[in-house]
Amino acid sequence: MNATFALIGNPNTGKTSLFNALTGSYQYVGNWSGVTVEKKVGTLHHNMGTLVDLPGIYTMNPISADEAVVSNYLLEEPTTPVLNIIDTSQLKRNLHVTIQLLERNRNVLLCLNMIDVANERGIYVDNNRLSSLLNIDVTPIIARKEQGIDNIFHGLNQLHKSTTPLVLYYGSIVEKGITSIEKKLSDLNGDINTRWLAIQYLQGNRQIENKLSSSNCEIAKIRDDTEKQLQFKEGNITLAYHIMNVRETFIQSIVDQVITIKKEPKVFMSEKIDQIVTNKFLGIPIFLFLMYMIFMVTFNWIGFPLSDLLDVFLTDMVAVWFENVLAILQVNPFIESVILEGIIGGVGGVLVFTPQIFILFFCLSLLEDSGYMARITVVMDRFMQAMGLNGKAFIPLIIGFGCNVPGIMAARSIEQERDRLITMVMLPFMSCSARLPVYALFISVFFKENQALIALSLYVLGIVIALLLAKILTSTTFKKEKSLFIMELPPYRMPQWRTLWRATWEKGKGFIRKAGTFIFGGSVIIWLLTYMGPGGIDVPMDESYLAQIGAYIAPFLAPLGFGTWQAASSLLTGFLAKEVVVSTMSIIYAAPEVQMQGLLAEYFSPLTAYGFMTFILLYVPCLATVAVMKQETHSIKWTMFAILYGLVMAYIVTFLIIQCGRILGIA
Amino acid sequence: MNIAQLKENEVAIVECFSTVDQLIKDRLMQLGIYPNQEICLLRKLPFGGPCIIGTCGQCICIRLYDAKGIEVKKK
Amino acid sequence: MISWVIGIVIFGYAAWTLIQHARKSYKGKCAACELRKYCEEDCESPNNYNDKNLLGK
Ligand SMILES: Nc1nc2c(ncn2[C@@H]2O[C@H](COP(=O)(O)OP(=O)(O)OP(=O)(O)O)[C@@H](O)[C@H]2O)c(=O)[nH]1
Ligand SMILES: [Mg+2]
Repeated sequence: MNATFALIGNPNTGKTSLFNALTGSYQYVGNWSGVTVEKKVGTLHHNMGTLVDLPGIYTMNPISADEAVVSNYLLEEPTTPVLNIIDTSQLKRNLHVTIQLLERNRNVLLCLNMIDVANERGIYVDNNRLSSLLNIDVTPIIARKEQGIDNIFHGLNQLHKSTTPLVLYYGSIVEKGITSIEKKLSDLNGDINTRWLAIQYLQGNRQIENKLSSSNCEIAKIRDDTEKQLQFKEGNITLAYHIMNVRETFIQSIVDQVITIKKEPKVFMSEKIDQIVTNKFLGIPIFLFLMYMIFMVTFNWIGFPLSDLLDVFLTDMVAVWFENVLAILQVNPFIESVILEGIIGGVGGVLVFTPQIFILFFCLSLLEDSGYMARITVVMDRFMQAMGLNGKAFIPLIIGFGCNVPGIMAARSIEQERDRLITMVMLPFMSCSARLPVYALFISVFFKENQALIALSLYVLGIVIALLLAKILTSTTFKKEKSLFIMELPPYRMPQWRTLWRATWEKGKGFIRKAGTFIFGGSVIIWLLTYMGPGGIDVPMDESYLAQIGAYIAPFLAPLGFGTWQAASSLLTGFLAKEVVVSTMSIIYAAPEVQMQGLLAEYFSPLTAYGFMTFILLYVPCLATVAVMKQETHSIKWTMFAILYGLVMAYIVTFLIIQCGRILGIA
Repeated sequence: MNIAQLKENEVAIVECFSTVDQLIKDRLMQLGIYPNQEICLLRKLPFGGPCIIGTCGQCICIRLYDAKGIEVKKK
Repeated sequence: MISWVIGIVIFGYAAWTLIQHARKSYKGKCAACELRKYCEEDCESPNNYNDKNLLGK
């Protein structure tokens, strides 16, 4: 069967959780509004067809870019059956979307999600009653526990019967407006319900205004007339408010019939945690402390010891095993060298930092799934306001610590285009996990004592440079508009081990996959460039092609304190991907007797090492980031600007660090 | 009187939006904050920071400026 | 002989991975995050909703 179903509902009601349960895939789940920002397609179990996961909406009139995706989908797919998910503990608010869906057509299966949360609050819903009132099937589920999933499959099977859409009576004035608009739209081909279109238009749905632009003047006039008449009769209210009010009254009558409240509201756990976490004075210190703890765990406490063990395993066991096998096979020295020095050196050099990557991803998942993410925006908003931005920008920025690409995507949930654009341009300065191996390598050599602190300082430096950019932009180009902020704070939820593990694994797996693919490829090529030179093959490293290439650039880097061809060529390979910097260094600084760590210490001092890390942090976003940035900003100008600003800032900041350090007498 | 003038944990009824930005007003409506709704000021952050307000079991955070633009009357 | 086979496999695979990497990156897909795997179809950015007109005029 080749049916398609779409998931529609309010933000943060568990759409993606259900999507994962129904399709067995793993998509990003998090406890705040606006986790999913684009359309995702998955294959349903039991050969039932495909399921489309969409961002959350409150009504069909989009405010932010992610909501526009949904409105667009609903317009382009007028007949696709819909799975409408509802947060049962917020029934009234959620039903607004349901009503609008039913006004479109009745191909809707209603899922009452979060039954567990509702029951805990003493809210009980009569499904059968609700089902007969709305004349659609209703199934209660608990998406995160995958309870009630079978009923959904059953319900989806029954969905195709089409009955008449819901018709609400909006009062004589509005009804007249609806009818006249419908007449104007009569030449509209396709299956779109014109009444629904007309109501949405009257309500001021921007997306639909855009779609209907050709007949705009006439229908715009109808809308103005209708609004005027309405105001003449009912006083100073807008058309949109009136329509919402009619729905609200209808919803209230339904809610009164189906809901039973069994407990008096009490102070909930969430509220107690919030009293501490968003405390007037402790809010920001708690946030900083938590960040510090993340770095302590990632570097000092767990990451570094594990990565040491892995290092021993790779050099003492894997490398030795390969050596023996190659000896038995009697391969020629060229092949032996590419495997031992190129592949094991290059790929192994990156792989040793897998523990740090996994732990960082675990911590980020913890932030995302607990509900603390939304609180960060609250405690940081005052500060961000001073920067001309809003606290919501912190969500993409923190996601960017994992990878810049989803970070840029996440900016879609920021309502204002201005703030969204600035956030996207700031994102490349968020130190992503690809840069982490570089820090881990240098920190393990030069800063053994203060690992977490040094790492944290780099991440903070990235944020500071990004905020500086924001401040510059908001006080020049974007001076006229001011930023706005509104944020829904979801209740805290105890993260589930299963979700955490899946989230960590899915992201960490990517790192291992990278090691097996282009880090492998990069290492082989880099090894080849060190093996060959103008003088032939198997030349001394200093006479290799790589040395020659690096030597061209090295003079430019001399003022930064690391003007060696080795540093220069490592930085060059970093244009490809930041992890490859570590592979390159592992290949270049590999010597038969001494460990790479020892050799590194000869070429760098703690000061220049810090300078080098700073440069890596800022100098250039990876190719994928550039590509999404261009796609999301629709502007080559802004993309180029972000790249150039990074390059210039990298040079200036590193220069300042090195020179100030020298003046202060730090080696 | 407006939301920003309420004391913490004080409950009031929304009367109208006066100076609230249109975008914020739209969002507040979507979240279920409009005239005649009951709201509660949960917390005000220092230095002119945002306010957290509660309605119908949900928490919403808005800026002080917008909170000052929402007229309420005490119950 | 075996050296040749291993050599060809290694360099062939290396070249393939790098080409794949470049291709994926240009599409804005991060090699690490599988986050975008399921979005096989159009992942167009929502801003261009103005472009198309429903009435086709
Ligand atoms: N207690 C409880 N929590 C749930 C349930 N379903 C989902 N959640 C949690 O609700 C949060 C939001 O889930 P998502 O699946 O990301 O929600 P979404 O609707 O896709 O959210 P957006 O993409 O932001 O619109 C997550 O923290 C889930 O673990 C449920 O039935 N009960
Ligand atoms: Mg989602």
